[in-house]
Amino acid sequence: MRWRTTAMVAAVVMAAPLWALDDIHTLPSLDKLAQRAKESVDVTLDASMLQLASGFLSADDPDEMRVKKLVAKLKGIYVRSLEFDREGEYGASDVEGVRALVRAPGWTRIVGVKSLKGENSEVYVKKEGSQVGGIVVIDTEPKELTIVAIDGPIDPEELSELGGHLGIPKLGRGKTKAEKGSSKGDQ
Amino acid sequence: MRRLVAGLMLFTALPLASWGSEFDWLVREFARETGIEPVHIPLFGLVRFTVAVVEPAGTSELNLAVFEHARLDPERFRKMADQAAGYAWKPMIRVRSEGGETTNIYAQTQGQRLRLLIAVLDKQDATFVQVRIKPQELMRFVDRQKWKSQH
Repeated sequence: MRWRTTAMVAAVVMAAPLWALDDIHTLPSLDKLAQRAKESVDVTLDASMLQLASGFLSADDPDEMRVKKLVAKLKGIYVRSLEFDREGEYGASDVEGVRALVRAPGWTRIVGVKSLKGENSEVYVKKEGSQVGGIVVIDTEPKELTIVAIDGPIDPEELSELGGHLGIPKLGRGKTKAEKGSSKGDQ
Repeated sequence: MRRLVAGLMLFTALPLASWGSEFDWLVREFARETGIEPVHIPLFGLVRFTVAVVEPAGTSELNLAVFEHARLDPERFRKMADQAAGYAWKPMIRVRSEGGETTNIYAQTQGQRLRLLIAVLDKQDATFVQVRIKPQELMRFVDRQKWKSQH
């Protein structure tokens, strides 16, 4: 009898972190790491806040109207961005909590970019049936760490539209050859 | 049993009654810790009354306290703001920049209205603001001003 109780308690204890981490709301705090950072940004917008905050987007601006429509479907946006003075101020273990979140069942890595300069970007999506139920972007550079978590149905392609709004950094630093050519032409 | 419930209710309500609003608590606590009094803003009482009655640009509540030449460790400032906000306010935005400037914004939703508690610590000054706004009305006002300036 005792071993059964012990086994049940052990199972619950072991399952609890997975259960909790399955939810984007539990995006781990980077407060301790933030104390070592030169600059830090922490944005937390849950569903109710998001709906009201989207009221700050202008109805006269077509771009902002598109973002407003997009945001209406979402349940939360969470941004953690840190910039350090020197390289090596943070390590893989500091991001482990976030990685544990995206290792939970249902999450898939769709983008993984590594550069020789140590600039790495990863995009994870959470599948809910045929839809995407959430996105986590982990962007690590030698002196910078940015984590963006979006809870709710969103197409990864729509991510770039959210960039620059509601605390989300502009995404998609790289330009295609065609874009580079056209921007040269514009100048 | 009723006495117990009434006693419990009184016990839980007491801290709220003695603290006043979170804004007031934060201002008092900052003044106590830094030993500096907030700057007197002439006729601000009248401004607050007007805001409450007229609700300009969807703003129906305004509290403001400015401290000049006030220095406090940014981390201590953040903890103080967190303590004031408690569970009643949700931390929405925290920004700390290179020069030690810190901005903490907490929010509460009340139907179509959004209450914001903003605590900003500059190198030498600190500003505390509490507003209750209707974001869509505020943006309509901003859009109207933009339109007027363009035409």
